[in-house]
Amino acid sequence: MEIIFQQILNGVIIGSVYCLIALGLTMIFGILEVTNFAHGEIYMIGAYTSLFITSQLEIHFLLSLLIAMAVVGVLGVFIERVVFRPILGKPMINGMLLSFGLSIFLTNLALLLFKADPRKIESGYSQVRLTFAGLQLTLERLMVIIVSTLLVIALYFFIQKTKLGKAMRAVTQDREAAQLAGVSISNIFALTFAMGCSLAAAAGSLGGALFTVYPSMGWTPVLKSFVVVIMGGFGNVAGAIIAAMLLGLTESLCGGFISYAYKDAYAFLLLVVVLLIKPEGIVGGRG
Amino acid sequence: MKNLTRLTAIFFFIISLTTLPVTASAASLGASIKVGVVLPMTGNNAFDGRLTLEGIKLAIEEINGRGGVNGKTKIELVIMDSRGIPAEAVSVMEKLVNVDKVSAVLGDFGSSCTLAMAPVAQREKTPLITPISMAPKLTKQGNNFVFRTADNSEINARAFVQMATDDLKIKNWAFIGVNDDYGRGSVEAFIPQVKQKGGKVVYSEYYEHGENDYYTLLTKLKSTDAEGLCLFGQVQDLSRLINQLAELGLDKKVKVMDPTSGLLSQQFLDLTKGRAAGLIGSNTFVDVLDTPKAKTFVTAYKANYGYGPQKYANAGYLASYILAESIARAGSDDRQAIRDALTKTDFEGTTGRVTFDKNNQLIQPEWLIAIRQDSTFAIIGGPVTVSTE
Repeated sequence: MEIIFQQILNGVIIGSVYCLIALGLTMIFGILEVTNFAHGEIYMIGAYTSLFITSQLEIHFLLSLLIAMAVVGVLGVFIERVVFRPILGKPMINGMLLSFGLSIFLTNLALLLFKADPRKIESGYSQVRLTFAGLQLTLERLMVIIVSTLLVIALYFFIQKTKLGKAMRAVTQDREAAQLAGVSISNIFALTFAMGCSLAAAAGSLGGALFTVYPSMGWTPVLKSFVVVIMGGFGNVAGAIIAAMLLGLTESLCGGFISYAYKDAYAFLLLVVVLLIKPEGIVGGRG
Repeated sequence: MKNLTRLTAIFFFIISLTTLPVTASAASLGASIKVGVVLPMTGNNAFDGRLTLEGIKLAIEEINGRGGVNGKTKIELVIMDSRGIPAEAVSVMEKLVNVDKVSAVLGDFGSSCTLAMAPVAQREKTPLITPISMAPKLTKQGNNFVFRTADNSEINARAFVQMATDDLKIKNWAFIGVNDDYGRGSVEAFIPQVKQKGGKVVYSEYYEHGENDYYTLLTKLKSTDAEGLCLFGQVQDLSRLINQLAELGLDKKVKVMDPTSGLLSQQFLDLTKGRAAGLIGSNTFVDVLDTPKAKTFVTAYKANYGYGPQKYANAGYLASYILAESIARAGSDDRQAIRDALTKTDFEGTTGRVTFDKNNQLIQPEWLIAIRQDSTFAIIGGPVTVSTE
């Protein structure tokens, strides 16, 4: 019994990381209608930023996470302006190819600058072991759940309650009508990209502390996050959160009780099942 | 008339005698000889692949520094990136053999890649020497152009199980391997050895390259009564596994073993921050190995790269020297001649005196090695030399 709960906990933690990456992806898709394949590299840049801040400037890990979010957010605005703005309104394939190119460029740039050596962010929390009703985790892993929950709540309030959030939702529903109502589309685009990148940077910092930091670290998580985004319904924030948890749990429970070697297959099998039963995604329609 | 025939015969015989050395010297060594290198320099094995390349480059620098093979022929490396992908490995192998016209190829890292390259080596009659790949079938498919200077999973398994059962008294075994030819090949090679020694296999699982989170795997391991856990994978992935194993408190419960010793490196120790102390491996090389060639290698490597060498760097270094020495004996850049010379290798390398068996598998001693509390290595058992014939 204990094993089941431990596996559920494992699933929730990994689901939280997927969730942070997928939220940015799905927001960027919902508003800019761009499938951003370079999102994993944004995650990687977030991790390197946090690594640099903690190891070179010796700043506390949680603070470094916030700084990384800010730095990568600004980078996001830059990327949106320079790379994605010029192809806005063009066929979707342009955005896909462009982001794919950006992804390869950024990975290789990181390979050139930082080499392939894996490095680790020392958060100082991994040594603190917590035991709770037979379940084991470290403070670092608990931090993943706490940080992502806080970020998700903050995001929810921002989208639902603030004026800018309403403007973002309006743009998702109908770009032209929102523009007619006086919403500055270009500001909303920049804001969305910045927020999406910030979330990825947060995930990167957490991932870099839990796992290791290296140039191609973004590839696998972003692939899983695409599964999450599709399952949750493209552009649907609530759907992405539910789908991320569902994916994390499927991986840990099937991996733990059937066979771990096929762990990645379960993710895509789950995707096929969800698409067959509910093709519009778990939370249906565009939210 | 009869005399004339005899005279003509003698005449042609003499002619042929004088022309023989001439034709031989046409294929003899010039100012340089091209050797191909195929290793992963990007992708998931990039890190370990680079260490092997450093070993190769150091060996070639040393050889060329002395004027080259036989003191006159410099080795020219043509280095290709396989990205750790078998399809890519085959295509760069084809390029090396057919476009660059290399005389021999060193590579690849992953067994899946080397297995894919092997048929090209046979078809084009080009010696292919893998310094790293451990899948046993590589030297068992009757391909006499493929050589291996690493130990293979079977040799490693036999030597390791013998040492672990006798010295460490392990009975219940668990295995975690990377989901490819190397990981699966190693686990499959170990299981019969364990059973033969009266042990029990209580757990075996595989993970994908680049896996980040091992809690699921380790939680499952926790519910078994395993005494020893064998790991088969690369530094990047397994450093994360070791950290998480310690977080779950499993390091107190099971003896962690790395039979192929890919983890006995400074980089791994840095990434695991003392959590790897007590880890046991078996290998043909470690930086404290007491052979004259190993000592010169360790000093030269440290001077060149600023950190100590581990098994992958040594593998590249040893393979390069074995190849260079064979080229010298062949006295030719002809691929067939180099292959024939390779089979007759009897060479004093970093791991001691080495020869190839009839399957072109290098025979060399294995040692039991442990990571000490202060993150240095100690030889705690061996040598055991086993052959696969």
